[in-house]
Amino acid sequence: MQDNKNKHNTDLIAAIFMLAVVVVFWIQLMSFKTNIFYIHLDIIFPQFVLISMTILSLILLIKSLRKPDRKTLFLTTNKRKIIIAVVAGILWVSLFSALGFIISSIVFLTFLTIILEEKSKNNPKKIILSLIFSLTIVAVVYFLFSNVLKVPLPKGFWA
Amino acid sequence: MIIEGLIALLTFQNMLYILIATVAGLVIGSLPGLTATMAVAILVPFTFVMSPVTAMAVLGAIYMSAIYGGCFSAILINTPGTPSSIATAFDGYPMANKGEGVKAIWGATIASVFGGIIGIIALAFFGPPLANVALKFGPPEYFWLAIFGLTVMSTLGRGSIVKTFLSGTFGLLMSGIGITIMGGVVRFGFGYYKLQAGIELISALIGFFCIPEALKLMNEKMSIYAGDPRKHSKEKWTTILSEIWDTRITALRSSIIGVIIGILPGAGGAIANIIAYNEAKKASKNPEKFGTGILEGVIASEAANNASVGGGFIPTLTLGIPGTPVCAVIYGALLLQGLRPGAELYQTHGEIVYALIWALLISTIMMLFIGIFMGVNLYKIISRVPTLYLGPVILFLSIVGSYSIRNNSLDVIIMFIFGLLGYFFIELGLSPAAVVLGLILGPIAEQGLVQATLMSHAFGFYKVFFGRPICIILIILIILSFSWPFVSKFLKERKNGGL
Repeated sequence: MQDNKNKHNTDLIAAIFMLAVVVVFWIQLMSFKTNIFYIHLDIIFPQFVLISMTILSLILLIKSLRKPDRKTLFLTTNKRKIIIAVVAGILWVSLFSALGFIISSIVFLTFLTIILEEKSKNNPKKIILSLIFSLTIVAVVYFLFSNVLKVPLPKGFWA
Repeated sequence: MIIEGLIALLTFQNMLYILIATVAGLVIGSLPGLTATMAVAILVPFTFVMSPVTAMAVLGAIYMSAIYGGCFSAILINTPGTPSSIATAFDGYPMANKGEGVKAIWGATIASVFGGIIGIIALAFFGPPLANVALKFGPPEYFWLAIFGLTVMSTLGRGSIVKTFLSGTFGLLMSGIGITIMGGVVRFGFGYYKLQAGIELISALIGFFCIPEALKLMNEKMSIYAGDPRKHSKEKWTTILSEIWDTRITALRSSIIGVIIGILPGAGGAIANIIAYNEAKKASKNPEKFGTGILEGVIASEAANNASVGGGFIPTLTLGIPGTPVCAVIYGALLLQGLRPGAELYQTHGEIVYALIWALLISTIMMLFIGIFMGVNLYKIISRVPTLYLGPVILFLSIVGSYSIRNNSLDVIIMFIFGLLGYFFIELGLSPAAVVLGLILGPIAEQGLVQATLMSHAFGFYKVFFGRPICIILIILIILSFSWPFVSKFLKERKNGGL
């Protein structure tokens, strides 16, 4: 019984999530303005998709009430690490253009490799190793993209 | 002409260029975010100064090897390097995870070489008649082809079929973001003008496949693979070859599918690998093993995507209609060289066409040796790198890869949002692979539906959608595809009951 308490009805969550998506997109479609001659052609496909999604979500909703698929979510996850990784990822993605490729990549690669290590194992030697690792990876990728493949990478706001 | 093409190609300089192009294609193809189209597009400016034979040889070689290179990251880190290797990850990564990465690399390499050669044979000997078949595909046929592709979903999911189809429709919905086909206005833009360009497929692909894997790795301090690669490294290569030989029918079937899908303008390896995987699963005696890490799944996907290369060149060279996005770039390169693709190209510059075909063949053979060497060593390296470092590096490559598609920071943000969504979807038992399939097939299905609806105003609805011969064949295939899981289950039960 106690075990069942920690388990989530994944069918119910998935069905509610998809129904919410349907509602949001349906409202968008209702306010959609296009050339009156083409309107039916521009909305025919999304309408068909939204109706299919609604039917499938309702089937899943009924199943979730009758024969739910119960599962403990994020079971194998070390919550501290996952939150750090996600927050660092969001910051990295947000600051990628502003800080530039080189700075943002070195900072976040080093930060992640240090922070994800067990606290007891983090010593100055380990931190230097993480920094060398990040510098090497960033240098190799920068050379490959900028010099060989000629793919421009963001230089940051000071460039 | 065939011999003249070979003679024109056989110089030391050309062989060196093909070798460099093959290695470059392998590297670019294996990096998530850098596609075969990008690989060829990057190299086009370098070919301006080359002779037409050398230019075509280099572009053909890089195309063939980039399509193959996508299998490395699919097998080793569960991230398809290009959309043509999506299905390779379904069984390739579980194989690597079990410690059978070497076998997966061997299988993918030999299947790619085999598929590539079948595509080249089709291009060399059956080009013009096959191209005429492609011309018979109109909007209704494309609509039904996309629907046929969507039936693949019935075999993609490992759990609930409703959840898999729901994931697929979510992908179809996402593909609807952006400028509409008819009205040319922004749909589902949510007031954010940058969304007018739509969801970039490669960004979504990287997000859905890379980010959940990176997050998973950053959580677990161990080797990326659960199984011990050393246990399987002693497996004799003759044993591996014998296992690959057992899948020869799958390789042949998938190659034929790859050629056919490659010929259809706009389709290409991204669709070919998924359809071939689906058909292999249906034809298999052990369909339940697909997705758990079996060689047949890797073979099916890899044979099909490389066969689509030769197939894609057929309408490009014979009709002047690019069969795949990469062929569209090569089409441009041909024009820059003063050559106009089309039926007369064979007559006026036959030696260049056949030099390209020979270059594709030589590059394919080079792939066999370079690919196995590169793939097996990458596997050994990756299996030894602690996940503590591997997770952040995958996240890093995902960011750089998604940015480099269009040099757009929005693509990076979309990639990350889709990545978090993918992580959440996996936890809920939804299928990220089905979402990606919906994203790929959505635009093809919508364009076909809209254009066919317009046609139906003139010719009648039933005649357009249900009265054309190819449409009827595709509808029968769709019905068979949908009903096959139930039919095979019924036949199996009957057989077991009989025994």
